Amino acid sequence: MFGDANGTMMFAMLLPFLAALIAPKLTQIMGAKAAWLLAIAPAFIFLHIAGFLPQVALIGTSPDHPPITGGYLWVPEFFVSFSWFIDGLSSTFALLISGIGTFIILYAGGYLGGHPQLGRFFSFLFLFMGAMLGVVLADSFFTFFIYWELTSITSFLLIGFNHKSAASRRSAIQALVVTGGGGLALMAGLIMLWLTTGSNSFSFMLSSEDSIAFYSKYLTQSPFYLALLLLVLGGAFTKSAQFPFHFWLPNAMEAPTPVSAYLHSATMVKAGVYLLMRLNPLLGGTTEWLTILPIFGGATLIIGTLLAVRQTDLKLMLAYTTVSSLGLLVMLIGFGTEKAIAAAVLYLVAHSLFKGALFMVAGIIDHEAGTRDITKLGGLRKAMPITFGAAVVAAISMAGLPPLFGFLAKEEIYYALIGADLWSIVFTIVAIIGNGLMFVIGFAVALKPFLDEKIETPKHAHEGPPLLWLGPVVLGAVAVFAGIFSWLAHYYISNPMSTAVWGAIVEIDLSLAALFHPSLPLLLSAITVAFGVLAYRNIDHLRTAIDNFYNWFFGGWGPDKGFDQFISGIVRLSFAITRRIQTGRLEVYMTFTFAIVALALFIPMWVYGEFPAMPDFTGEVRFYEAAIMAILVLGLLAVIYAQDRLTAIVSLGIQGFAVAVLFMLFGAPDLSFTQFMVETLSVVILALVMTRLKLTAADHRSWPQVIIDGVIALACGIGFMLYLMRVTQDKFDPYLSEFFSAYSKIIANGTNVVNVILVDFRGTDTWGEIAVVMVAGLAVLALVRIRPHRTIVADNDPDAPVKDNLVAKAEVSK
Amino acid sequence: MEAWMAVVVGALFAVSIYLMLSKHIIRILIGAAILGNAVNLLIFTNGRLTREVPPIIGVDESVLSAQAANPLPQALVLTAIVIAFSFFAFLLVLGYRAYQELGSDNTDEMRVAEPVDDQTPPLGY
Repeated sequence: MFGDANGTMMFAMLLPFLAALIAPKLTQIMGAKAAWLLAIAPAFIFLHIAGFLPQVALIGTSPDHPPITGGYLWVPEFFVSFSWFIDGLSSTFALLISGIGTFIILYAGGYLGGHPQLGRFFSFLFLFMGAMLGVVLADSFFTFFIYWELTSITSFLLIGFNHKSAASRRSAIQALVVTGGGGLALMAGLIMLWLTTGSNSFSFMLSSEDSIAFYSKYLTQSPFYLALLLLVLGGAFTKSAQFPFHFWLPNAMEAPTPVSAYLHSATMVKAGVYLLMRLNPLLGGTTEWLTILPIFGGATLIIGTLLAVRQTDLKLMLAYTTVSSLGLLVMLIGFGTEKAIAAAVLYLVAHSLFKGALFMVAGIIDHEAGTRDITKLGGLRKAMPITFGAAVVAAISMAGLPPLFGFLAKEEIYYALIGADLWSIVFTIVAIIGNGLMFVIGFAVALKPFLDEKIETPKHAHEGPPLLWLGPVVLGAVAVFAGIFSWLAHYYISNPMSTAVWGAIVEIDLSLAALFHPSLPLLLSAITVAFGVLAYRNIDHLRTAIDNFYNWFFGGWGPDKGFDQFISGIVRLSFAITRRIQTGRLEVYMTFTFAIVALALFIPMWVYGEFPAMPDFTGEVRFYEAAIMAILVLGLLAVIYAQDRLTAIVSLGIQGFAVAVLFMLFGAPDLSFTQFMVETLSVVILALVMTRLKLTAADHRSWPQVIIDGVIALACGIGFMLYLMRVTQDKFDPYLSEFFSAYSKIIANGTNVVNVILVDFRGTDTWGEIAVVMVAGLAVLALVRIRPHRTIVADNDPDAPVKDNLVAKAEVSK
Repeated sequence: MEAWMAVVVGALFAVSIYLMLSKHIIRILIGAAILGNAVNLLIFTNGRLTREVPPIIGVDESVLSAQAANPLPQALVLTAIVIAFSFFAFLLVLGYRAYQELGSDNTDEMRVAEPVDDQTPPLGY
């Protein structure tokens, strides 16, 4: 343990995983009411993190207040530790994750109450919660990356929760491929960051302003800076759905609404933004950073809002505005000024509150009215007054109107963007259009289903249970509270977080008082509202216009379709390659294998100049030794030239016995006996088995085939011969042999050294050998006992046609 | 002496590999059996050759005599012979059963796992 570590923090970080473990059983016992009990877990984490806030608020104000760190050594040999790191950025994120998580758990209980797999759903949600908390609290790159990937995997599980729907499965795989691919880039980026700086922990590099200045200078001047930046951005942009990787996020709306509200608006998709904020002090401020981020962020903002207006599905509208909000955040981070960072921080918090609430509202409407198509909804305000109230509050925050927190965020954005140069003017206009359209969507979602004349919905709508509306109401109340008591929010949340992202103390003093001081940002807000109101009144025209333009421009193609083409292309490519290298013909595999064996023998000898010297063939070979060797070679030739298989088998016996005699002649009687027995058995069994079958008599190879096979075989043979000559020409190292010779009798009390080695010194090896013989024997037995021409398939064969099963069952019932 | 043995080992390898490159399982089987001998002699010769005297410690001695053969490769080869035989037996039965099921000893016609007209796997979800 090190740092300010204490067991409670460890417990808090592992608590969601614990909850994931018990959730299914608890849900089985208590049903949807288990949500109340399970929500205690995130609530506890929330309170625990909130307990750090007084300490967090002081971080950076003096050297006595460094970020809070702690943890355990994990793999000290590789400098890997399980460690956490709390500063303003982590604490705010952790509070959002656990706070919104508490209400999402309650909401999920209401939303999926009675669903047969509710327990599993809770389990997945908690797994995600634990992973996401890990991402924002992790200090070491390794733990950060593991948690990062875990969020992708849990997102996959949650999107594919309704696994019987093909659309869900597709969306789940798409999200996994996109975010997982980005994860690989991020891993490379983090490794480069580690290799460049020599440190693998955030806290070490971000511990003080001096340290930040040192590492920032070091990194941004490194020749690997651009590669490193692009890899990290690859991870961040895919996770945070930046154009052109935005398409997976709207598709992820296939997941049940609690997932959309939690993962795909309030938390997981912000992991990329978190990463950019975390690395801003280290990697930010360069031309590359200040160019790439605003351009991609701005493009995502505009494209997201335009596509949002095009939708009529409540969740899809919100999903596209989430894309655009993420774009806005990336754009602000990339603006690289203190004000822009402050604006990003305010907007991030405001967005999590209102977007989570709006998603939950959309879910309630869907749950209670049976549809979430905005054109089929209207007049629900009387039936669902609480939901309506929560929706309006959230929409006001999204639209950036006072007195909510969203207003402060939007003011700060305009403060940050205003400037006299072309770059600032362009991005101010981008922000006005984006905000104006988000205003439209916010009110379209919050007002349209509730106001106007009543439209009959598929289900008779009425207010949902408290489990459902509690979340949106509380999130709305928090947004109001944070807007009115802004100094409190700034002191504990915005200032520490901005300080962490900016790398130096940031003081935000924006409050609702700004309303009474005429300023340029206020004017821009007014313009935004005017634009929004105008657009809202003409939303149907706008939708048709964008739809027509979209269809004309893309002609039905888009990144989403491109993804399908990419996947099918990969499958086709791998299939084509497999067909070429896995031809299904054994001889091809064998030819390649032995050709490579030959190369492996010759190339090292050639490269290292290790060919043997010309051996001394005149050395004494006794007459009978030469005779046995000659018999061996003759036996081999006879095997090859044998016209029928019985001759071949007998010739096999000749060479085998010759080998046995050679063992005998060179002082290995044990080997000789064994070889005699084995060869006899082999020949007898082979003759018994193979002569019963009507096999092709001789080996029909075409002449070219004979030449190819012959060359490969000869190459291998000569290779092994040269290798053996080379080895035997070297000096012999008798170390091991002398060891066994010296200790066989003294220690093991055996005189036959070979036996002693087998049963004493290497007894475990012999035991392994016996096991191999036994397994081979069992396999032989199993093969012999399977009766021929009968396929055995289990009853639950997934490939069997369903119809047959039904017919079979009908026959049984008769 | 070792040089002559190297030639014999080379011949064993060459013949066994030539047989294993055949399409017919019986030839592949015989090739596998010879390969075992080739490898065993390779290991045996690597430990150097000495004539006649087995690695057995005499009654009055406590270590091997200087003329005795090297015991280490013998222990390795003894294990290898037994394992090679088990695998040979398994391969033999496998080939026999394959012939019974598929009616052919030609590996080109054994295409159950990798059929000639293999279909493209699903391109979507």
